[in-house]
Amino acid sequence: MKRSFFAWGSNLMLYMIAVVGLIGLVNYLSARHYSRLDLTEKGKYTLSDQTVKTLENLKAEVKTVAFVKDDPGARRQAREMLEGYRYHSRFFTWEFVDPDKYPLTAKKYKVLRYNTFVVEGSDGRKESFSGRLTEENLTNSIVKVSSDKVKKVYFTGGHGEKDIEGTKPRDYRQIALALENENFKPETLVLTETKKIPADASVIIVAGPAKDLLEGELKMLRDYLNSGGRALFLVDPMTLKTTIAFLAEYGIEPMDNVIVDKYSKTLGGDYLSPAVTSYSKQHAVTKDFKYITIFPLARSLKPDGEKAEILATTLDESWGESSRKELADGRVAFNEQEDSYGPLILAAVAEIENKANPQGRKGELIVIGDSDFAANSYIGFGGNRDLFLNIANWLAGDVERISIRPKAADMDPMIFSQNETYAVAGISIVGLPLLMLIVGVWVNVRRRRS
Amino acid sequence: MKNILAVYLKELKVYFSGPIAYFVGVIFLVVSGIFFILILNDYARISFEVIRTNYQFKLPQLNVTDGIFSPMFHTFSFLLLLMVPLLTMKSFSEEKKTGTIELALTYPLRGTELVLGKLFAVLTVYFSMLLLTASYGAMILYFKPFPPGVPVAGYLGLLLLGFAFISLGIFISSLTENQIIAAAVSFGAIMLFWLVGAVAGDSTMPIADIMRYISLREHFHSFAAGVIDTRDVVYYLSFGLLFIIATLRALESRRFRG
Repeated sequence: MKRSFFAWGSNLMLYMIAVVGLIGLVNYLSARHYSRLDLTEKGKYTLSDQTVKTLENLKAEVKTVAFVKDDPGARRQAREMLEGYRYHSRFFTWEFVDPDKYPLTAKKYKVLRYNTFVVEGSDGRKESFSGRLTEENLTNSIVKVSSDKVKKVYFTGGHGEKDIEGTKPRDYRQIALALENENFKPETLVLTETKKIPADASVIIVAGPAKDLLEGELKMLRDYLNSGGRALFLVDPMTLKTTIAFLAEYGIEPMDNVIVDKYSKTLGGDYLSPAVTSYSKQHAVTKDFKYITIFPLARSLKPDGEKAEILATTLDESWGESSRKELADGRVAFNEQEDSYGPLILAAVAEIENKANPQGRKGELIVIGDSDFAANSYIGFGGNRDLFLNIANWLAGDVERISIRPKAADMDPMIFSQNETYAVAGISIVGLPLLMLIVGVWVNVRRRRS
Repeated sequence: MKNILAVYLKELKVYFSGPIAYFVGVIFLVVSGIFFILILNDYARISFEVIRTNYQFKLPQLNVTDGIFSPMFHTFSFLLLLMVPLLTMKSFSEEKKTGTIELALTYPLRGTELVLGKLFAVLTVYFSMLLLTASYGAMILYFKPFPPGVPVAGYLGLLLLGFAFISLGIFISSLTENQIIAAAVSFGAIMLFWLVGAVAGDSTMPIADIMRYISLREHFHSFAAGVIDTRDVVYYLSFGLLFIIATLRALESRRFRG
């Protein structure tokens, strides 16, 4: 008897293990293949077609790191949305990180605020946004980091511009590599050898030409900018004439001076390497930019207030030295008549009407009065590299941003009068329970009597 | 099937002619009524703020679905967690104590029929208690019409949740002769499955995924928000099924030993 009891016990054990295993398997499968029926009025929890299509087209992993405070209430909405995204693609992964608990991770992703969402592509490209997690922001970030379209950036050549292959201190090899990491493909373009700016150009960069561009080349650039093209001009002091006139057409005139900044010496530069700590808070390129940058041997710009916008200015103590003799002697002094005093404008941007297609995207031109800040020997300084990449990324900005209507229900306020409140409270707290109590007592009394 | 019905009707009669169901119902209605008024007051207070600032004060949750139904269903789910052990405690404990279980088991009645009949009876008591709260919805409807989808999902969720709660409660009741112990242990066990997901928090470890998955509470969020997710339905049904099977084994062991 005892033995059979033991046998029965182990049988039971096996049986229960099998049952749990089977039920576990069913649940495992159900967690992987599920569907959701959204009964909310506007289908609030249903993702839009664009999002679903974007997710279904993913071919490599896209990871979203949600920097949200470790609080279930704060995380619920984000969790639901991110889980919904994951349902549509096995390549989509996500995780929560509390930036206070994991400051290193937050630092790695350069996160400064709660509710920042970083979307990271398989090639390391990152997109981030802060605030409420909306489908529109998340989907657009995914599109950006997962698009396999390589953006071509052309550096003009033939006028003594910086060499993107060169490894000498004043060359551009380092910044070219940094661009490649951001999914750009930098190439040298000799304009005289082509008839037209290549159609695949995301950005054209004219980096510190020693000689003026030819009239025909400027015409190509003009046509390009007037039809929605994006260009970055880095113009060094004491060079160029017709190119300056070309830039002035768009409202950014490079001045004939060299910026002197005595303060920058304390930062490790010399008098002729102005430091920049003040950036436009209005413009998208520099809005969140906080690093110090240094521009060795730079000239100031004079933007036309109507056409152009300031991006970066030098310190108050700096001035624009226009006497070449003084510069040559190495003894510069501020001369009220000739020199312009700080803060001086070092970078500016102009938006250009699209003449070919007025509804199409606008052309953008950014001019900086220096090209050396991005050269091999200076690129590592302060925020120089970031500034250059910010500009390149912004200029190459994705044209097509998907717009998804937010489906949050409208606010629907409801207020009650005093009497209504009493009535509702009376019915729900007293009326209903009382009714039940009466029925209960009646039933029980009757049962006892019978 | 006929046997299930017979057990079901008999059990139902016991519940509705005894004091426990009414006692539990009154407590549940008083407490949920208080919560309902609190939620409503909160909603009115925020509404007032929004109107006063001429809609400048933005609060996207200020709609009947997110502002009233969702918190209300969450409250119900928690209150029912407290009530269910009182409904299930006597399922088998009493019969075990009085010995009528032997009688029941010697009938030409299969264990499955007995367990299912009892389970459906408790579920009926549970849901009829819950349906009285539909009057809250009717009161809201008087002030503000709302689409029916969200409450449908919410009540379906509560029904499934109740199925899970009750099977666990019945299982525990089949293990002991003492009703107090049955209620206390059921309460503890339900609470354990309720909170295990919160213990896991947002950890990304695989064990945390499992803990969140087996947690009764984690599967209720979608229902409360107006979404019926097959994962949650499958989970609650499997949870209930597992404990029905466990109950059957427990009864069988008694038969074997007895």
